[in-house]
Amino acid sequence: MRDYDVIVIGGGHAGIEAAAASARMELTTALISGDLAKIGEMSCNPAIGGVGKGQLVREIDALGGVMGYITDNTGIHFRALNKSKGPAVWSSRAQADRKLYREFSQHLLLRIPNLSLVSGMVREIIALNGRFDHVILMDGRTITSSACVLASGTFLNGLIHIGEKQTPAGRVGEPPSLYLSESLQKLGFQAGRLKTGTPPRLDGSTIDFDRLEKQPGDDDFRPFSLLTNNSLTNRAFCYLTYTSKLTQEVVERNLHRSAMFSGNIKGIGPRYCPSIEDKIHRFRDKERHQLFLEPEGLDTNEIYINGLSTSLPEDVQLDILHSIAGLEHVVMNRPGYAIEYDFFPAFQIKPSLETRPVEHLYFAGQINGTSGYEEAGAQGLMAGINAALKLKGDEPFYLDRSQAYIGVMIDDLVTKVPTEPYRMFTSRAEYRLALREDNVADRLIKYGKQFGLINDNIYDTYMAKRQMINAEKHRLGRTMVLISQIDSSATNGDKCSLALLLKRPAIRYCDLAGVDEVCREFPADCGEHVEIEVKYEGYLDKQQREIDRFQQLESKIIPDDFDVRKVNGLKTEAVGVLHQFRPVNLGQASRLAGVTFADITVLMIHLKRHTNGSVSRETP
Amino acid sequence: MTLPDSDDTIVAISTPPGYGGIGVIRISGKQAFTIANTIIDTTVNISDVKSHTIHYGYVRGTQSGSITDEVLVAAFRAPNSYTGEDVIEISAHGNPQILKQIVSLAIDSGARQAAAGEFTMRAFLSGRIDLVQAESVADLIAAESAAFQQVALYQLSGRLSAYIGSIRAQLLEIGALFEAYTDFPDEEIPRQQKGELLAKLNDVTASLSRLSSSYRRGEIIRAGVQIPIVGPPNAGKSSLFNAILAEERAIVTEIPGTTRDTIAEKIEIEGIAVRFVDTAGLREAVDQIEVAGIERSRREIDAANLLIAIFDVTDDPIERIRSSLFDLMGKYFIVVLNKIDLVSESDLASLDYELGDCRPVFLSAKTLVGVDKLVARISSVMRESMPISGVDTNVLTNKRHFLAVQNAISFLTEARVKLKQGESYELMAFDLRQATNSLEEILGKITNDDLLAEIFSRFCIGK
Ligand SMILES: Nc1nc2c(ncn2[C@@H]2O[C@H](COP(=O)(O)OP(=O)(O)OP(=O)(O)O)[C@@H](O)[C@H]2O)c(=O)[nH]1
Ligand SMILES: [Mg+2]
Repeated sequence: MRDYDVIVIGGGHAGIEAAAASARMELTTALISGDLAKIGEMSCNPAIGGVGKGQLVREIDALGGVMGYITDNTGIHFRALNKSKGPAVWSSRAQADRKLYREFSQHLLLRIPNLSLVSGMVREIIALNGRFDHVILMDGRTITSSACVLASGTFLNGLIHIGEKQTPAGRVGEPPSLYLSESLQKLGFQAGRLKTGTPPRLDGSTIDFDRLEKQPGDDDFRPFSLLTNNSLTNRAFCYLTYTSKLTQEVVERNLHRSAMFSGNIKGIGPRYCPSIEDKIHRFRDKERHQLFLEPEGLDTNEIYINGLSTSLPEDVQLDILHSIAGLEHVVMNRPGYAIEYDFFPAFQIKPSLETRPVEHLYFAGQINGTSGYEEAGAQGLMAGINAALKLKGDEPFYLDRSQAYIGVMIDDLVTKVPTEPYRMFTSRAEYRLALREDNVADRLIKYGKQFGLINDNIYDTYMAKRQMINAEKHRLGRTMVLISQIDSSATNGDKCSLALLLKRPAIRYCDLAGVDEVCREFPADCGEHVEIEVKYEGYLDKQQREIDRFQQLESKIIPDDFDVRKVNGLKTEAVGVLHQFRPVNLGQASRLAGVTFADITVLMIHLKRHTNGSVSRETP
Repeated sequence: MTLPDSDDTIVAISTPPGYGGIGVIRISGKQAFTIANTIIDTTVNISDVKSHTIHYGYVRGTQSGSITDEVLVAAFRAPNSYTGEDVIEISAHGNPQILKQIVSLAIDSGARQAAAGEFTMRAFLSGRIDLVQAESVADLIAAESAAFQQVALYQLSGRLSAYIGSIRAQLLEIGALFEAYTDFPDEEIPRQQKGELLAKLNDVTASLSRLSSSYRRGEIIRAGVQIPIVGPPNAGKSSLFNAILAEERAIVTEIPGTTRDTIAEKIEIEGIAVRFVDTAGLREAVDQIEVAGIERSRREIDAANLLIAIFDVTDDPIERIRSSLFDLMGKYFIVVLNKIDLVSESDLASLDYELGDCRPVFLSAKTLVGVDKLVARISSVMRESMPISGVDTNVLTNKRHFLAVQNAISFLTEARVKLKQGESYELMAFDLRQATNSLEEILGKITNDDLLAEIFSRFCIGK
């Protein structure tokens, strides 16, 4: 008799989603965390969402995950980014109250039946005959289960750098789990090393906010979660400030003392979220760099300074801060630091996130080389769902690149070895126009319902809304109006449909209210949805043709028993790469570096024969 | 359509069918050397010979001790061969019977008869050449003119691919900028950079437009200049056709309506293939065959690069020319007045005076007087009005490439308009991706097996 069906190691954002999903799919689940009070901790900035990431949060939500719901309930500042651009890249972002987020997460988990929170540090993962068996904790306890999701974040063999100083740690003040990484390598996993940085934390009562530009939240923010009925209130402001000439001088003068520049860090840092010393050094010509001051919570004065990640020594950090407008007299609560940690390049996992060397063991989050809560949460959810599906004897759940950002991310992970922590961007998604925040439910809710993670109520509400939108689109197509009513330059008497009017870039759905009764009554959020679908229609059609073509290769499955080393005619390089990554279909194979289209054609020919069953002519 | 297996060893006769001085059999694949060793007696063991060496030997017959032919064996080891695989080329005497026997011996030893274009397809699959280069191989074999052969060689050298590749790289660079601004929250492209971007987009579009407009030239280079000879029945179309070819190709009689079906022949003028077409005389058809023939003539007229409109000087030419001018409008044409042997010099002079505007060529298809003047006129029209020079530059000769370039241009045009109108970047990024995809399709970076099967099926066996 096993203690649990599923063990989830780690109480970060991946662990929370994995544990919640598996327990809600009716499997007894244990979430093991070093300190239960730290479950749901936001180790970096207490912000959720952002460009490409807001999409992930909404996708998690449509599949029945919890991140969006927690954020709606603990956010203090909500804003839609990129509103000046098209709806495909509108991205939601929220600033949460760090403490509230943690507490809300813990309460939410405690209320889920089948889920136990277990305090303890995992020391070793034990597999028997290539199959996960149990974990051993630091205190010697053994916990058995049928499956395990490893989501242990920065804790794996972490090394913190502040200037010349190095401290082994996970997050500041917590011990690293040295042993776990070793244990995985013993199981045959190959480790790599990555680096990420954090900015200093400031005492808000010492900041001169009056001189800074205020950034209010949006009043009409659409909640992240389908579960949230109420509208959200902004209870805090963010502020904008900039680095100065003096900042540049301080950084240049002390560059040699940065952990990054002195070569102390072996991992590779994220390109898109570079340290301030990196930014100033690389973009010497740029006079100033934008910085955001973000509140960490309602009942704390602590301020997070977004854009100022650094691994310079403490005294230099202070000099830098004092060179910035509004921060001349700031007190630094905690210095920024860089942390390097082990990750396990994801060619060792399948697209279901199950590891190849150990069956029923799943990897989620930073361990796979990603950075960010949203990326971690999405993987946690997928790992939790897949661990549960497998125990129930069901097929694994995949999303492809045309279905979701989650699909894009996992596909990227299993086809590339990251050289820097993987962070989501909209430009990673080639079918971006179809992967929008407004249509997450259209894309994903059916899966959430299928797994029992979305309840009938939510589903029915969605369906009703969807039907309303369809009916309205139909109505707009048939309702003719005089163009001159809305566009004074039009010829008198010319008529066109409301849909055609709405296709014009300058005309919004709410503008139609001026000429049409029904539009005035129609709910605003549904109106926006209608508008996006009407305006994007031409693009979506073109995109759909691309997707159809994409799916031709995706649908050509490479069976598990297919041995690329036996395929003649493939280039040696291609064989090596294919053998290492073991793509599950030809589409995935085509995205591997070193595999050309010619190789894909060769594979295609062989697969046809393989599936036709005449595999007999293989050379010994 | 499906693609053939790619891991067995294939064999085929690589020289054209029929009798010849020598015939070459090509074997490609893992077993090429062992198969050659099995079927050929040499002083060396062919399995062990070095790449790029030639050996003398005998092909063994089917009966023990018998000999099929004495041959030369050329050995090429992977990857330095036409296909990128191990290749054996056997040069035997060019008797089709002998060649067929050698092929069946190779098949008995484990080779498979190659499908059309399969050697070239393997060169593509081994990554030795890209799709444009593979297609140019078929062109090179089919080339009927010096100009087309030049263009095919240019494409085979990979220079057209490299050029398209460089345009693709520029598109990727511009696209990356749109992508970056899409992902920088609430950032707009600065006005100055917008100007630069627009200039870059214009540049790339201009390059692609030049490429796309080269297709007209490319078509002429590939398919030749189409010159139908049209005119009323009995004007002497068939006679002129024969006179130009210097061969009694078409039937000539005094009965109007002799020519029922179109007949075409190619000759080379100015290094370009010129396809002359004898057509059925255009009149109210008297029977169904003639209706069909006239329909074909019309089609030839539509596809013409240059028309020769021929009239009988003795048969009311002025009125007939007037009434056909409307049909000729918008096309290059040369008016020919035939049968000058039947009229006097002074009649000709007055006709010349009246028809001066259409610069008619006076000739006699019967006595051949003036035919050389007509050929000279054709050359000069080709030189002046048809872009046939510059075969050593990037010329599109393939419709597939042309359509893809057109597609790319239309997406880039969209992107430019949007950039000017200040629309949102993700839409321009979308257009740029589509444009890039189109170019990648040309090179065979993204495509599908149906397309490949179709392309390679156009080849002949043995290539
Ligand atoms: N005297 C003379 N007779 C010619 C000349 N060219 C053609 N003919 C005669 O004109 C008659 C018709 O010639 P074709 O070449 O058959 O004329 P066509 O235009 O092809 O006629 P259809 O095919 O019936 O439309 C034949 O009897 C030719 O011998 C010429 O230059 N001089
Ligand atoms: Mg005739």
